Amino acid sequence: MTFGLAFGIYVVFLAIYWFFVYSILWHLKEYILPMDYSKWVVRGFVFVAIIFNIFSFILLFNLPF
Amino acid sequence: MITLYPNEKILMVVHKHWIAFFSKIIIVAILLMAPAVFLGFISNANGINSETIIYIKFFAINYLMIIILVAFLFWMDHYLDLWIITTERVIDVEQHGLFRRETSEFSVDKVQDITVEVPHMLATFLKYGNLRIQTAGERSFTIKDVPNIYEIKKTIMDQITKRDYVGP
Repeated sequence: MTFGLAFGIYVVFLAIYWFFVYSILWHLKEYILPMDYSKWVVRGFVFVAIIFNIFSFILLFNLPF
Repeated sequence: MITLYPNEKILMVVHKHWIAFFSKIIIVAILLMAPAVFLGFISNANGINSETIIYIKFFAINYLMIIILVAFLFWMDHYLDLWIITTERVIDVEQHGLFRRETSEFSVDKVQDITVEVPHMLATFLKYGNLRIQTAGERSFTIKDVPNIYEIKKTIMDQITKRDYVGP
């Protein structure tokens, strides 16, 4: 598999992934109530997702093709 | 977005008890640990070169991203199944998966009967149960596995009493 094809599949995966993340955040924004602990859960999830995404991106460029 | 009427106040927001979410937490925890266990086995195996390890790490981290997303989806589903009890009405929000949700509401004037059910021993120990409200319409509203059921019932009954009371 060439790097270009792998990169293309990876970009599609990320697009679908972040679409789902955005959808969840949209639902929460609609119904979240002020002074609620849920804001911290949301921030925690987004933080972890971004960190994993960065690691995954770094690993993609380290894959031997 | 839930918009309150003028002079309407939120008295209580009722989410489900954590026990309703517990089985999903266990499933997610097992799925999260799977790559670590797999990597542990693989790194001890003979004949695995460093290039293969990089591939495995890449797929493992993407797998973890998906599991974290699924966990967040479970949490959202749990969190958005709620009742908002205000001075005027009860708003019932039910989230089904990611894209389907139902929001219904009824005025506290319309409440005819409130049934509290503690279904089994675990519910008795952990102090949660089911609450069903029969309204003047033919529909009844039920929320399952909620904590403080008697407090919820009292809050709604207090509002009904306040509305029924006509001062001198």
